[in-house]
Amino acid sequence: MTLVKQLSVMVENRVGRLAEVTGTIGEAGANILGFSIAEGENFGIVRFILDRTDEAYAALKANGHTVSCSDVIALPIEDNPGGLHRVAARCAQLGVNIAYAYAFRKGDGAVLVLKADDALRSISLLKGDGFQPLDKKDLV
Amino acid sequence: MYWNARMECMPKEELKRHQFRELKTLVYRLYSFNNFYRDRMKEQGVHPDDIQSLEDIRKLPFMHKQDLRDHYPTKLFTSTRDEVVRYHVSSGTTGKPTLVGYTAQDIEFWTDSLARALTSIGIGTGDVVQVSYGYGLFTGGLGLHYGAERVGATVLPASVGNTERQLELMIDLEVTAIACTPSYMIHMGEVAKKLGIDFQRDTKLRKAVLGAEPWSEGMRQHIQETLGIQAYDIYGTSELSGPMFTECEERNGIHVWGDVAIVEILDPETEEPVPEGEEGELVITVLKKEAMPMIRYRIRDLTYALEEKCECGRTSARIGRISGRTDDMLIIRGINIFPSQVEHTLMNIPEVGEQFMIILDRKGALDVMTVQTELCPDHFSDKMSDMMAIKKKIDSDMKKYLNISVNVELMDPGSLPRFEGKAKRVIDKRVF
Repeated sequence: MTLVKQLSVMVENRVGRLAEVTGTIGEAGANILGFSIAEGENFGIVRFILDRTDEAYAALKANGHTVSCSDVIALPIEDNPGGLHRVAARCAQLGVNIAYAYAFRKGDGAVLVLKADDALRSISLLKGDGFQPLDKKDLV
Repeated sequence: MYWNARMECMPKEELKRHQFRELKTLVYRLYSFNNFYRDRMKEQGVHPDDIQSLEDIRKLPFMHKQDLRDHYPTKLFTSTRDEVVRYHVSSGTTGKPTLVGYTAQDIEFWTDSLARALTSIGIGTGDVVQVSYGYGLFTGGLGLHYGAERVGATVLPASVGNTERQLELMIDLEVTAIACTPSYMIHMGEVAKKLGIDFQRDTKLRKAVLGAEPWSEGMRQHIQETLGIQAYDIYGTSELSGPMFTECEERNGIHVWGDVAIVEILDPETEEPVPEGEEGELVITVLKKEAMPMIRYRIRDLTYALEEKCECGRTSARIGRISGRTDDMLIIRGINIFPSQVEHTLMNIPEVGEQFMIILDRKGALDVMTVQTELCPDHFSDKMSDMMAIKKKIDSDMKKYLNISVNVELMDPGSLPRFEGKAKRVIDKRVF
């Protein structure tokens, strides 16, 4: 299955907290390929796609951060008008529910990171529909 | 003007003899009819015959809030179900409430005490009194309601909330006096200001009887200046029946009617009396109470007592403003909350750990309580909706067990302070 590992870290809403997380990731020698921040009321969840996920995970744990590793789908999208829409519209037709999503640029195109409710079912639906989800090698 | 001039102005020596007779009768009655108190007296090695003077009250055992909880619901009652005409309930520390029962005579004693108090403030026939304390299990609403009716005032049983409507009624019905918490009074003032209502110009309100939560002289000055009214302190707890005693127009201490109750101010450590005028723990013996007598009840409030006759002519002992507590009880929007209740609630929620902090603050005039609790790492999710569901669950459990709305903040595991020895889990930023 072509799923990508994502690290999520809980960060309290206070000055300097994000820097503690990014500092730890940097020291672990991991490069951030893409990330997003979801804001709650007094805390946020920062999600990272990294090249050295395992090292960053261990380092974050060791530094006392609340971190979880989960599977997400990474889809290549065209970096032009309607690029995101083509994927979103297909997901809608296929009945793939998106919990959250974010994107980052990669080469000439972009990568859309999707968290779908049922990752395995969603990815097989997308593959069946001609999408080619990326794996870690494609991203680094 | 006095409601009961004979009792209120009884010469001090005569009042003390009266108190002694009442105390002696009470102790004999309890020794005969109340197993709990007889056992306590036996444990302490004291017999009713040992009470030979008013000072001998110090030989008697104390009663504590824990006794009420341990004997929940009615095991401390000395009246039968047929004789009890009402219950009031206050929240307890671990979900276990404190129940108070009243005979018809108890309601009468309570009403009479407040009738004297309201008269001493100058509230009576011709006044329209808006009772903006909660009606229901809480004693404030019904207590003031009965007291104000007794003195011949017209009562508007407004209860709490719906402030705009309360202001409208206050204007339309020409309300002259209000009874509520000091923070609600300030809140009303703020809402009025937003609506363009000027208390002095648009209302007939002149007096406010404020209590059920700690407040300060500064707050009194603020209320008086911004609203142009006179504010009076009222004191009581459900165990004493409810709000019972107020300041008189002199506003130099709260009159505790000598024939109704005996006041002791003790050093909380040594349990010995402190010199007059010095601060200590208030211990009250209610002389007039049938269904649930309270002898030497340790309320845990800190104050001082004044014994000399008041300028108003009344001779009863007076107590000063409550300055704090000897336990960790918090009073938030008039509701009693113990940090142990918060702990107990959190312990039953598997998604959070056992560490917590309580932060109290004021938003405008209203108390805001924030509970910070650490997420249990196993329950961390990358989906914000999962995290918000945990928060919601804590919100609703807090509301269910504490009876007030609480701001819940989910914290990073390990981020809250750890304490060695006595934990200091409450940060009170409120300015009284």
